[in-house]
Amino acid sequence: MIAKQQQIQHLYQRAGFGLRPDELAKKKGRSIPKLVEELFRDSEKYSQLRFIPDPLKGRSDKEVKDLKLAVLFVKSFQQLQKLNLHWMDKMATDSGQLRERMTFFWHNHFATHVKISWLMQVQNNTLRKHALGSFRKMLHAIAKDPAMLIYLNNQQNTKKAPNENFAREVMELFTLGEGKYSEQDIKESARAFTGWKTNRKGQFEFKRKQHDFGEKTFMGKKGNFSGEEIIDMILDKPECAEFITRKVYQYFVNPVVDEKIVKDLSKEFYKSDYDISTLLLNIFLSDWFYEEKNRGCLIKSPVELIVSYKRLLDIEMRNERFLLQNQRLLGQMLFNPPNVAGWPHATEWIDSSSLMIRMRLPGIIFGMDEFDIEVDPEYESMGVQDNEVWVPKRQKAHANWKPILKHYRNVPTRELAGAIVDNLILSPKDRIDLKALRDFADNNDRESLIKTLFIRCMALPEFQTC
Amino acid sequence: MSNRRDFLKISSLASASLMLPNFLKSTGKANFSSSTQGKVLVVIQLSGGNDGLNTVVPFRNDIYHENRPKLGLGKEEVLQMNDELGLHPSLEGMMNLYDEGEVSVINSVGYPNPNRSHFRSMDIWQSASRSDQYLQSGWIGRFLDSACNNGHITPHTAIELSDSLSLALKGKQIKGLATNNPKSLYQATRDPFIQVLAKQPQQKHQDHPNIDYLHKTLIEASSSAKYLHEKSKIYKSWASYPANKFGKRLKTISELIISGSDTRVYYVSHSGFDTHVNQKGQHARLLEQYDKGITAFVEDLKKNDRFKDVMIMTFSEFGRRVKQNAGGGTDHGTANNLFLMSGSLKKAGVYNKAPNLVDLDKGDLKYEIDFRRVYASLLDNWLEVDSRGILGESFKKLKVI
Repeated sequence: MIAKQQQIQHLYQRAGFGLRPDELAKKKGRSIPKLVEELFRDSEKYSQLRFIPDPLKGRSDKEVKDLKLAVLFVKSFQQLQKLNLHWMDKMATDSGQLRERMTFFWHNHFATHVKISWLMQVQNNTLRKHALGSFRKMLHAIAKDPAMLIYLNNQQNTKKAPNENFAREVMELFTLGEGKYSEQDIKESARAFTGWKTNRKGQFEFKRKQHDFGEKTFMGKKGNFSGEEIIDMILDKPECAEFITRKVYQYFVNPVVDEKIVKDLSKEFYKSDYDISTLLLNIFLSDWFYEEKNRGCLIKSPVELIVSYKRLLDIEMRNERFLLQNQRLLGQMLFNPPNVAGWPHATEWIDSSSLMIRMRLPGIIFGMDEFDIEVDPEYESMGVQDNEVWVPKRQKAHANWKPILKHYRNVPTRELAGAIVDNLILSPKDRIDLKALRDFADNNDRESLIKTLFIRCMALPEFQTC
Repeated sequence: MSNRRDFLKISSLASASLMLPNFLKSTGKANFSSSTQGKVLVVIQLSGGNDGLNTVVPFRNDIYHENRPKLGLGKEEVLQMNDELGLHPSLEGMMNLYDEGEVSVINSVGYPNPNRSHFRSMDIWQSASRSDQYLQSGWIGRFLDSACNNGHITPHTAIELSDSLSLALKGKQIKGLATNNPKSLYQATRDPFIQVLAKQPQQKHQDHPNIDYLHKTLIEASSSAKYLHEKSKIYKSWASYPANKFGKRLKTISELIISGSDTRVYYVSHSGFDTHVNQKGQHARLLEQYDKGITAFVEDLKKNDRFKDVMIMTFSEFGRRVKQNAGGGTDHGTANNLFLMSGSLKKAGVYNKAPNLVDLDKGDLKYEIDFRRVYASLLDNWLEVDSRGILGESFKKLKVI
């Protein structure tokens, strides 16, 4: 029974952002294929981020005509912070866990940052729309995404003076990977993307006058290729399917790749014409996905960690900025990837200082410890004052303990620590000292005991795994 | 004498008291005591893009004054280093060090195809990558990795004075340590619950290297925190440092250096240099903070006869445009000057010619010296490791260090 329970937990940690112990108990009777089906069904319908209002709405035609991109900057920084918190809440509470999880994956894959919050929301919704659909459609959409075009300098890519940045990253980071194309391929494809621009309204526009309609030689073929044709030619290469499959495998199965499995998966992915759901189904319905070596072998990214707190205990901070501070301290701010290659992965998240913060965080959230950490104001360039990023030392949080307390009501006190560890941690537990957990819990009454055991357990190094 | 005895006591404590797993055991105490006398690198990062042209001012250059009618500094204002270059008036302390032959100014440092985004350009400087290359490790981190192969490397071999670790200090196998205050780091690791966790017996997990890595990191954090805490008790500086974050951090660094911590690299940032509007006052204030900080720092080191073992490198992710903007500020630029300061520079003074203000790249300075040449010089000639493995290729070294 434990084995089955761990399989379900594993599935929900990877295909979603985790499962509360009481939810887990409810799912125990169902088979893995049934649960996988349910995960996909729950993600069929979805809601988009509508937090930032459309800046074109409510403006007269003339106003829209005269609009400058600069207008879209107004209040962007504050809005982006709120959008960040808003999305984290959605990750924690949305019933379409798989779709949010995949949107987050693509958010890292197509890492972008522009200072116009509205465009970041537009991009996020594009990613969500295609998150479980066709990678082909998603790639075409993202190649015309206003934020992406700005971020990768395609605004400056004209027939007269081609800029290769966009073309290079499309192949190096989004589709094929280094070594699968030549410098010549970059030069020629950059010409095909000339005139692909974000206009003053923040929308995609094809500027014919800046586009190079001439003949290009790409991947050994000659033709007057358009940008769309270039993208399709890239997708024609099985190497593209393999590149995406490998990355999905490293994020959803194991950072150490099993070459044979990736080969097989990528063949199917290619055959399905890049159907992302097919790829994921082949993973979640396989036997190898549930093998012990694949469980708990990843490290939660900072956002995954914070979302997992929220998901387990419905945490709401009195000062929400605290969560942004911790994204920053731990190195992952939504909508702010370090560069177009995205965030670090797996053990790259962990160093002495980030681990100490991670181990102290649960205590800080519940006011058992103080937040005495200085966050350097990296964002001064965006006009943010020091006092805007300041948060108080003593944090207050509201958490919903009811379902947790209820779930453990029949568990004998002596077995509580073990049961909680089993519910929260999937990696090897031989280094978890249950006696120490009990010794450092509040033994005054049962409720305090459960709560403190839970908080202690969330501070364990093993809790950082997923 | 008592200091010496304490020191011995502590060093034996540090290597024996904790139940260190095999992969952490240092190969010998001899290394420990000899490395305390070793050379130290202090990296100062001016975050936001320091306006190099108003830091080392080409005060005689007409093009400079034409481009900067509001911001330009004249002959009477600057602290003259030679006939054409002078330091910003805020940099009096640095000027004294310059006069004593302890400063080298390297002009037009940068890299090909410069990136004007703060984050990306900082990334490039910290990872020592090309501008079209993305590395997930930093140059100091890879220095740790390379030294790690010879054993006896701990996170505190490279310390960043901050609460989160920059890419620069992240290696592939080992990462540096970030702390603003060794005392509070020590207190955090002394939490009884964390102490219990930091002492788990070790057996390796074949299929779960992440578990091994987490526990190894925790044990290292705990032992490094203890080591630094003990060290920081040895020497308390009475020198007066400016009462700001930067000053406080430099003071912590000097205390650790003078106490003989076996740390090889310290990393500290001074931020606020993104002067798009009303640059004049803000820039003067920031440079003054920088100047007061390093002046106190160098004095402290000199008093204890350690400045000869310390090399300070100051850099920024980029310089600023030659032409001032309409808001009395300057926008993101490219190549910039970089400073090296030490009691044992091979060649002091202005290293190369002043930046060329005629031959510009879209209004920005063209680089003449690849920043990785500076890194290579520091790695090979100061930290005494092979720079090629760390930087991925061989760079011609500067004859300064």
